Amino acid sequence: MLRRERGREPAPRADRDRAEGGGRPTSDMLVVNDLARAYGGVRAVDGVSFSVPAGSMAGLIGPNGAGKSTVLGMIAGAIRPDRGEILLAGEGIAGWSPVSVARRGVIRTFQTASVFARMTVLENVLLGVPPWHGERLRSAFVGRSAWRREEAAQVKQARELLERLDLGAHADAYAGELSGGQKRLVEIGRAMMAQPRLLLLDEPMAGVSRTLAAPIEALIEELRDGGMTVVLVEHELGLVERLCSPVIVLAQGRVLMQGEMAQLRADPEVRRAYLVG
Amino acid sequence: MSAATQYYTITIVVYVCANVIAAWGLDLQFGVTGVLNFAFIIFQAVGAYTAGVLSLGPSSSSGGFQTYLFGANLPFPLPIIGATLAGGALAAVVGLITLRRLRSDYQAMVMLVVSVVATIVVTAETGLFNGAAGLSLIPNPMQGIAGLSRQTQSWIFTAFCVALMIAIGAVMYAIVYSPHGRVLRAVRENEHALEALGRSATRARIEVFVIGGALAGLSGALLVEFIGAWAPNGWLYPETFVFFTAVIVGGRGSVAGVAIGAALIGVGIQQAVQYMPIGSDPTVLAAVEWIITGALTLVFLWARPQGLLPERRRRFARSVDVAPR
Repeated sequence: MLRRERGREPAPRADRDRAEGGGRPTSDMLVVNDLARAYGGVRAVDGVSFSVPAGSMAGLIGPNGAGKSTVLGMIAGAIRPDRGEILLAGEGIAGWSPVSVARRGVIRTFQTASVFARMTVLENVLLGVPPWHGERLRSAFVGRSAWRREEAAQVKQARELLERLDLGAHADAYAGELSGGQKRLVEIGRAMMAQPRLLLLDEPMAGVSRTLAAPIEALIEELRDGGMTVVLVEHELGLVERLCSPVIVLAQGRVLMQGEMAQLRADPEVRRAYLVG
Repeated sequence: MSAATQYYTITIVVYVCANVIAAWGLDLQFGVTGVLNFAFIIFQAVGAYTAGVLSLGPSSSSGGFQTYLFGANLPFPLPIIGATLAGGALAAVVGLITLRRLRSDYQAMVMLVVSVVATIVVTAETGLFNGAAGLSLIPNPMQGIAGLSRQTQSWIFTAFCVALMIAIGAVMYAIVYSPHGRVLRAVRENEHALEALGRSATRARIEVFVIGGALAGLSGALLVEFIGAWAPNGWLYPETFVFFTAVIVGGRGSVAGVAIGAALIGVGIQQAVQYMPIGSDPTVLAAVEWIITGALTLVFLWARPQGLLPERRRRFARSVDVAPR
């Protein structure tokens, strides 16, 4: 009755994990080839190519309008590319819907922290768990004792995560009542519950107070050290320098250069296009 | 209890049950999931018409008194089951067309247009459901129980309505306070964030649209089986907003709250107006009902948007293993 994504249903998480790298064998978790997207006459992204090795944290930087969020949006499935290839562990996902991309293990955060405002912080984090059988409509009537046990385990895990994020006291508060930085922590915590293969962080420091900037950075660092593959879009270059390798510089919809931050700072073309001082 | 008092009590109870069931259907769509179904009344209407034609028998048997499609003389409760399925089926068709690609505000506009067009078509096309005159002489569903007085039959039907309402209430609680209910509320709050977590907001909306449509059809069936008649002037598009008011006043997403709202708005206002010192002109009474309904909507949206009984905050028991810092 409902149209399926390109004639196939994304595999459940367990099957997806077994099929990891089911396309071409590769040590890169993410490969982007000649990605392009135009809005009317404006080429927001014009032939972007880069790769992100598995277990690394890649930084995506550039001046405003460089196409960073558009690239992230295309990887996440929110924006359909005009051309190009996006390979997740060797499997092509370009043009897939956000739901399908997420079910393949790509989880993103948004420039403005996207929480479910009139739901509790704990419920927000619980929604980070990958889609499971308890969420089906029929499970509301059948097999209740089974999913109640599973939900209890998820709640325990979520509470432990909230304690780590210093949000344990806010578990039953509505997420909309939190500060901007706390909402960001909830969003990242929710992404951690998903245990993604690829995490896309879109300006995680935007709108965050200095008090919470350090814990958020520590959390992102923990993700990196834990072996998660991350693409980080950020304007705060100090953060990018401390956490990311490689770093990809975009300008006017194209890759200007990629490498280590120290090299990029020294490159005159990059400095002219973006970096000051 | 006098016969008049019994009849009055039965009427109030049946109307409350039908209104509560319908309001729960809209609450699942609008209150829990955020779908603005401005065509809600047509699903109640299709249920009423379906129950009517499945009870009346072929139109030829009435000697041309009324003309309608199909027609069967099915025993209770088959017409009610058929009406529920018809409401759900119509909702599936409308939902698949409107909920897949349109933005939520455009969905609302399209629903309103669908409602207006449906009324015009049914009124103009007498071959469908007897046009503006509607269906009448729909038989009492309990007439098959021999040896009982008409009043006893009415009480049995009333008990059936109450039992059905309680059962539907249990279904609502099961859905709303389950992990599936959590997904539905997330659709309401932020569908893009939900889709970025691998859940389909469109699928969730279509599911609740069908369930809500089925409940609306069921409520229409209960009303038509009790009243014995159904006409287009009983389901004009503004009637949808009576149910919206019930949901807003009662409490969006609150099962118990919406039940209270449906009883107060759907039945309470109508009865209260009868006792006001404004005469007995039906036109005036109806106008005052609408004024009160509209005023309550505005007052609650402005001053008490969470309703009389707000949606319950979902709390989970704390495991002894996880101690707060």
